[in-house]
Amino acid sequence: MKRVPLVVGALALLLVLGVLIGVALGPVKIDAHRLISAILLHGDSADHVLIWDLRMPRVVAALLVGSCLGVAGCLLQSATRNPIGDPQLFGLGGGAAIVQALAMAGLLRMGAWGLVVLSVVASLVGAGAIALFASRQGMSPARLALIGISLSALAAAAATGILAEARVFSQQSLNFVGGSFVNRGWRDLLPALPFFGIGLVLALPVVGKLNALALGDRLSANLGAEPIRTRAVAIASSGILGGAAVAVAGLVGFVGLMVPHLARLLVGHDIRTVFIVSIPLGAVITLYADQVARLVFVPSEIPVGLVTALVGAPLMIYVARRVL
Amino acid sequence: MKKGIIILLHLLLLSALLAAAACSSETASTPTPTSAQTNYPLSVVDMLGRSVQISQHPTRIVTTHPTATETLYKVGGTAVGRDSGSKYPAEAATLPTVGSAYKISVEAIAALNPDLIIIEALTQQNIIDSLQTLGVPIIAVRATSLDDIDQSLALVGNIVDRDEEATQAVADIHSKIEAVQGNATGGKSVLILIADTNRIIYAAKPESYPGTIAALLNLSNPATGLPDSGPYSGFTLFTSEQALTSNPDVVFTISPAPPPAPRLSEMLLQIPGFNQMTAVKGGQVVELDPFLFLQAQGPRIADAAEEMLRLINEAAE
Amino acid sequence: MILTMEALSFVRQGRAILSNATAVISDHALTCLVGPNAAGKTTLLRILSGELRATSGRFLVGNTDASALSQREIARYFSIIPQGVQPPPHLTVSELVALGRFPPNRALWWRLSEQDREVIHACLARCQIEQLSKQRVEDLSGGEQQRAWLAFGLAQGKTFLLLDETLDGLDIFAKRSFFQLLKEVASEGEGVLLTTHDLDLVTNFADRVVVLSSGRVSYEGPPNLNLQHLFFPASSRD
Repeated sequence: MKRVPLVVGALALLLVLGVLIGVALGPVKIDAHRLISAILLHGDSADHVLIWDLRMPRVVAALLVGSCLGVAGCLLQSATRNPIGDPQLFGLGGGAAIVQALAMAGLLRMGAWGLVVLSVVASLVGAGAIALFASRQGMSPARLALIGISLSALAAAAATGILAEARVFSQQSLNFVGGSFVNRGWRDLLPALPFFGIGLVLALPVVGKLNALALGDRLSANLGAEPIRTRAVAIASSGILGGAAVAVAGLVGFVGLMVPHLARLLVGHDIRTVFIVSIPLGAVITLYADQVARLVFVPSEIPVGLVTALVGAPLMIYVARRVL
Repeated sequence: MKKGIIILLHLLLLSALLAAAACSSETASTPTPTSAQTNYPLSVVDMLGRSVQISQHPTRIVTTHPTATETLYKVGGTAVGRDSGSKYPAEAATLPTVGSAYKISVEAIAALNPDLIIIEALTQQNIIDSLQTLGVPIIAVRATSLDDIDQSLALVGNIVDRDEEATQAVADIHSKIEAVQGNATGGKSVLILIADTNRIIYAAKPESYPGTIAALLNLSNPATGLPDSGPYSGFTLFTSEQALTSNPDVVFTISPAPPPAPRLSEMLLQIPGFNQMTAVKGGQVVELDPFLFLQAQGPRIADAAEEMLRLINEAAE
Repeated sequence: MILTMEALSFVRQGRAILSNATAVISDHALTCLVGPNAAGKTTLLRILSGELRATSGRFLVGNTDASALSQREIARYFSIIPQGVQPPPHLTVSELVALGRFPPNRALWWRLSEQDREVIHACLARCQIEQLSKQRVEDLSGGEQQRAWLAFGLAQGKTFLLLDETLDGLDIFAKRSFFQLLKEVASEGEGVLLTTHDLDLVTNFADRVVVLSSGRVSYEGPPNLNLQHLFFPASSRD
């Protein structure tokens, strides 16, 4: 428990640095003096618009999505006792991806608030499926992972199919629907904020019990930890957070997978400290990944999902080899 | 010594193969100039620089792209089959279809028993191999510039023995463009935008078809000189920061996806940076018909220029 | 505290796994539950710990009808160590035992109190594994792991400990010393119910024996009979 303040403090510093990078650097150059006056002074100057309407919402969106995904991954991994638990991988974001595709195809016409709510509800469907399977007798981690991966592949296929059918894709780029923070404004991320809060608050009562869940359903029931209910709440919370994240940025992969493992490396296995650390850790990782995506080939951009995959996929392989 | 000889033989073999490959690869040569009357068999060079033999006057032509269809009909030719995206002219719109320009059905083409197939050079190169199994001559046309359009018309006119119509068509297009240019006052700047899926926006450079049309009208384009990026050639990735610092008089948007997919002109109002542009705030955002201005590039370039001029003048009011 | 089982029956898919099981288990004693495989021993333990509900019959803890309680409430009386239990990776012995102090309701900011630490220390000492407290449970030998699980069970501070085939896979020396340990634990106050196949050790160490055969209690009492007879009634052995 002692290391936690140190780690959180270090992450906070990294966060501030990342925010500075996010607002100061970009295709349009801004020196320190202009930056400070743009941040502090109000007014309609182009710099002010650049900082507050373009760069800042993108930074905040990355932080928000990162925290959502990090916590969701942490909850999912301990609730399913599966080290490759990840809300995107296990299909929890799948329903939200379908909602996103329907909106892009113009088949769903609703404001940002409606889209976020619908995405969260759709994600809970996937979460429900996983929760159902996870509490079954004789469900090995590998089998549950396969079910989750199948669900997510199904959702991705449906989303891609919807977009292809609507001919939203250009002839050349029938890309997989990846995640992105490009052109995200305040109106896109504000509706997700309350769901971030709801997801966290929902998870708080069960986080402590997740430690006992690691012993198995029989023992944790004997300790009074109510494994089935605890697992259902944790997975539901993971679904809400995952759905909100997808509504803002699409499917940004591997964050939910990486963050809990890194957190465990930093502060040990007590799920309560992992949970707390996952919030800033997820934010920092996603923020820096988006900065890389945005700045490495300036003014061109690479998809943020590519950056997270480059780091996260090798990690997943390593984890799967060691543990599953 | 023995090893050295073997290596030498391998090198000779390799260079022979390379030479053979080089000979058969496409070289960028211009299509053959046309004469007043066509004699068959005819040897032509298409817009991909490929040498093609036409053994007799083609009577059953299949076109696989709106550019090909409109070029053929502009010189007075007719087809027996088209791609599902070719909607102009009206006579062509009723022809049987052979799949979409993005996904041509070789079987459907074969079923029509063609003696000539006309494809589009930029986007349909990859189907040449599968079409060759039909044993029918394949001609590629292109329309990325006015020169391209002239040459494609001449080429097709030559092949279907309508050289005079082709020359006339070229002249018509040029005179119409001159007329439109005469009416254009110029001096305005226009940004032409198209969106990919996840809100990634590209701007048309003067090298693109819509950019070419804008350049014909003497409109300046903030995307000039930017690097080619993204999957569309002639388009450049346009970020919200660039949008913030550019100030076109009018913004044209192209939304290729059919309704109910949202129109880019509406989406721009929600995208930070773009919604700050004076033109967007002032409502000078106009949707261009994606068919006329992007998908059916070709002989109707003069009509497109006329339409664009009309839209500019409307927006300026 | 006495645990009284009255005519417990459990029927699944037409098969009677337990029929009319009646027995008395007391604290301060080591009771061994013996019987051939599939006699219903594990099922009985699962009913006692609240995981399964008996089809008929009941069991009382003291004067309370425990069979009418929810699993959470029953769990207050029994700590269970299931057969073949696997420790989570990375968990150390002291962390495992500390989980035994887990309070069901206050969880997020729960910390170990001074009293908790004393209890953990005492349990480790009783099971003679203090020197192993910082090691990972998965890295210990079979006998040491079972002691760690026993300490975990003790740390919960419940009246009865239910151990299902905990001796499985241990060598004869480990079994013997574990039995001795169980006897000491029982003498210090807990009621230990252990299922096992080792009849010799049962005869030497158990305070009471309950024999379960085809779901029925065929014997209940002190272990001073030749138990073999009860398994093979028509045996040629005398």
